[in-house]
Amino acid sequence: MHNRIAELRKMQGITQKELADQLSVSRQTIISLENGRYNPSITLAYKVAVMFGKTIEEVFLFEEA
Amino acid sequence: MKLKTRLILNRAITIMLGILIVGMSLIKDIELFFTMGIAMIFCAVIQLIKQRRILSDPNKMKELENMYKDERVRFIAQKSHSFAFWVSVYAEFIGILVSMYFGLENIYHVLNIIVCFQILIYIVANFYFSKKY
Repeated sequence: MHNRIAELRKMQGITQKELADQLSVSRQTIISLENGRYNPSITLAYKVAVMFGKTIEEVFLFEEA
Repeated sequence: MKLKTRLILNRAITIMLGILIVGMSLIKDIELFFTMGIAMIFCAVIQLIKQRRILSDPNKMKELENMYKDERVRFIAQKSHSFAFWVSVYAEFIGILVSMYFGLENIYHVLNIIVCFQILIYIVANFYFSKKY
């Protein structure tokens, strides 16, 4: 699943570590999320969206296979 | 359970198991188990001493807690456990075939029981979690 986490993070000028600390996850999780290697649970996806002041659909771009 | 409690409990259980193994080795006079038991106790005590520094530092504790609660870390652990389980079952099955071929009855009986027990636990756990979730 593609997402705009990296783009939104850079727009807000925060580092991966800062984002990880705010979401209570590891920096490695943020890296995996940004690379699309890991799909978050609905809870984490919601927290990410709220952090950026967006909806889940605006952050995570679901594409049918 | 709090992380601090869980870490200390894990070490305490390892020490108790080590003491148990040492006790059994003294009763049965098996040197290998004695060494294993002492090694387990020693490693657990060293881990406890190492952890004391982490447990007393709130920042490091918070980092450790985040790591334990991290959903990606838990996802990877679950996948690893599952993978290890199936690899073990197949390895034991190969062990059964090899021991049957070489006529090692005791070994293939024991491995048979272990494999059946593991599969039974898997079926029961699968049933339980299907109902729960």
